[in-house]
Amino acid sequence: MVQKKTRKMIATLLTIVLALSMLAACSSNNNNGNANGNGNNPANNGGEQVQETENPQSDGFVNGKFEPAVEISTFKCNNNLQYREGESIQDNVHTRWAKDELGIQIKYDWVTSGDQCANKIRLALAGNQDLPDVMVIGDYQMLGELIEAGKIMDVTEAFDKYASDQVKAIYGQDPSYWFSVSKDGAKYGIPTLNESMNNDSVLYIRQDWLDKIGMPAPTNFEELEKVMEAMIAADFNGDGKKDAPLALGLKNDLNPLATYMTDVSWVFGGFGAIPGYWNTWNDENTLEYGSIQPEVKEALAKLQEWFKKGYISQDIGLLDERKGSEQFTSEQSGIIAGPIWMYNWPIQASLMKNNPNAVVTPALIPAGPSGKVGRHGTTIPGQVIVFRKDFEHMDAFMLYLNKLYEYNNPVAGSPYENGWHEGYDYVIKDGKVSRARADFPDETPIDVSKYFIMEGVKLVDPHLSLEIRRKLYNGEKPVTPQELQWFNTATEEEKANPKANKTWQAVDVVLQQKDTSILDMYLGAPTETMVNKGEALRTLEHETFLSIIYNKAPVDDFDKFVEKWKASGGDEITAEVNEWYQSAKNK
Amino acid sequence: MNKGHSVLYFMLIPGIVLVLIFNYLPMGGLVLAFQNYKPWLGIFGSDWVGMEHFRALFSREDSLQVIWNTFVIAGMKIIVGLVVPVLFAILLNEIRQMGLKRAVQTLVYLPHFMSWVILGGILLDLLSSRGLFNDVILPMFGIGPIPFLTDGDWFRFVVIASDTWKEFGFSTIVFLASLAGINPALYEAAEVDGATRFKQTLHITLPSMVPIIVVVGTLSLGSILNAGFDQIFNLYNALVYDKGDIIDTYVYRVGILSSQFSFASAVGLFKSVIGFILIVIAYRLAYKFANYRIF
Repeated sequence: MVQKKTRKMIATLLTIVLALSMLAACSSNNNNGNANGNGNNPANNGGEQVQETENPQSDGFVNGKFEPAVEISTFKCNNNLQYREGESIQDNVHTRWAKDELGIQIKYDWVTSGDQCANKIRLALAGNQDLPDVMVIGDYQMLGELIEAGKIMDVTEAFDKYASDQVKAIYGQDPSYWFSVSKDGAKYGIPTLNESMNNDSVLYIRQDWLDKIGMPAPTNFEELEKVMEAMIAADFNGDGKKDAPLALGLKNDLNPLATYMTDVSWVFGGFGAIPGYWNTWNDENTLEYGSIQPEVKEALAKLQEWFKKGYISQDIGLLDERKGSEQFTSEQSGIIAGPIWMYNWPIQASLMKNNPNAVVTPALIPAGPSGKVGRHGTTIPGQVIVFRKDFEHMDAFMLYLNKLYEYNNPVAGSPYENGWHEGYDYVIKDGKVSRARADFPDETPIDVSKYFIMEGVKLVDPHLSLEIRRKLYNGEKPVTPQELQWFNTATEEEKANPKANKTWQAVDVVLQQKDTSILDMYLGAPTETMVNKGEALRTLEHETFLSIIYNKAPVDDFDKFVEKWKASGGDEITAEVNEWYQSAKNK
Repeated sequence: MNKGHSVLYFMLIPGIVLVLIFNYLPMGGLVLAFQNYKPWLGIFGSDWVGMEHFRALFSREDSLQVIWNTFVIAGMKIIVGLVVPVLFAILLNEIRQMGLKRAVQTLVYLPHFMSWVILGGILLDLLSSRGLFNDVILPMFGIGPIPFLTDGDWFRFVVIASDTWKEFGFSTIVFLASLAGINPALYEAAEVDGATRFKQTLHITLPSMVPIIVVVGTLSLGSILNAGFDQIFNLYNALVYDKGDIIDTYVYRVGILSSQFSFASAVGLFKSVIGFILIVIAYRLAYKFANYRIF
């Protein structure tokens, strides 16, 4: 009886489920059908026409601004911004500035938290909603999707026509800046530019330890090994244990062997190839995958040797960049590789707090056995600004971009000499510029650049801040407003003796080896085979490499890995990557 | 149907509607598993690919290993996670001093409320080559360092042991409750017949607990393919992929990191189907052996 009843119940339930899912399917089908109809027929798009009547032609460009104001819609992936009272994302000092100075009305279609951003854009795409005029996209796969879906505009012409000489000069420095947006001769957006060499590694060494063992900073691997041997023997932290002198951290799902802090890419670079990076290792017209180059095998053998000798910790596979750098800041290790900003944090913030007497010096990356020096480079093009296919006011957006570049590195006497807006990012106190927290209204300075459409992007020449800091380090007096701003971040002591500023020194060091940066030259969306097989290949790679370093597998397993990598999709990926490379290179 | 019940049925409606909207409607999204879903084309614009994603799941060399890992880890977690709380509940039940009993009970279920992100960090510090175990405790017994987190077999052990440690206190509560429900007359009768405490446990306590053990075991069978994403994700590394990579971490890397929504849905559907089948089987077994029934 009971069984029969149960069966009946299940049957009923299943029927209901089925009926419901069909219902659901039908209803969304209807919606989607409509939306599709709209999307395929831009001419019939009601929304467009309304906008046109509201904003007549942009011909009204008078006295450097648009009259009447032109509206640019966009979105913002940060709902955590601070505002002065009465201000909001739609109406704040920056939007008012854009409207009054440039005649551009910035309108945010939606605002969401950073982690929800990609989902929100994908939903908008999936629902075939009208996209905002301007979108800042960080995800190259999504960029690829947008290009493929034909939703965004080729900006080649608009950029040539409306970009200022300054902007053109900055973007013309390197053709690879445009690679991420180039496809079949078109440019589907304007890449934003990261600070150059911001993630390139320098070696940080405990100078006080070096002095005690009486050795200079190592210039090649051989000297480095001697230093490490001496550091183990000296046991500087006095815990009676053989601490690993070189701090590494290889827990990173994407690329454990070329990362920011606790970087190990320079060991591979010393042999001539960076794992995980696409570059022209053997032929300047062909991109090849770094991890399968024979140089990587030599580097793995070297790391295995160091592991056996105790130069690197048994825990490196468990430690991510932050945990890994704790080896250095807790005084177990005396050597760590990391970016130029690392001296401030975590070295100064943690190590100097533990031990105020610790002395750390940024040093050059040591050379490999054949004299080669290499480190992973920083990719300059970052997030991409893209534009809705039918966006009509590229002239207005380019004006906005030109002006941001101009005023971000102001000339002396410019109204923006001291910063963007008084009372926001700087205040005048007793006739002098102040950035001290206490002098601001409510003691809260506001970073106006967070209100820009391209939030958090520097919008200056990518080499500018490096060049300024190198000048300052070499004792040149600051002249331009930007130089003065950098100069004023230093302590009084450092102003008198610029060689004492370790961050400036790190900049000087990283620039001395600027020709050794090796870039990941693949800037396209993940290819089809990458999407389907990339993860399996990556798993295989990380498993093999870590096992070799941990001496759980012989170095010759590398050869098996290369064969397997090529056979299980690697060759296809290489072909796809080169197809992209040719298409991006030949504009 | 009694007319007087109609009001009660009416009051059921909001609950049913909620379940339909939030539990049944989203199942429509499972069609993703049979498509090559592209977000800008939407569900109705994407190509149908039939069973391709399932074929991909089973043809990938590493995915079979991943499924096997999941079975092993989740299976061990279920077994150990059942045995330990039962034994612990019986032992705790023997404590006569109520204050102590309550204190212990509270202490052991506290870890249940900690997140794996925090516990993962703590375990890393305890079990690394410089951690408390390898540096202090093991040398006291003359044992050399153990690669807890970098060797696959040890990794499984750590995962199962730490999960049991975290959860057994919480499961104990259920069993303690069932112990409280045993008729004291049974024990009195046994004592009269001269049964020792051990005999009483064996012949009265355990048999009385069987139904609840079966129920808990049955319910947990549904999660045979859930080996605990948060835990493993926070503890694993490339060195233990061969023994420690589970379906969920694999899907995270494949599906989420590289936006293969369809593949991720296919794996999700696969997991649900297996879970469903197991629940049905276990329910039958529970019905047969423990006379447990829901319907």
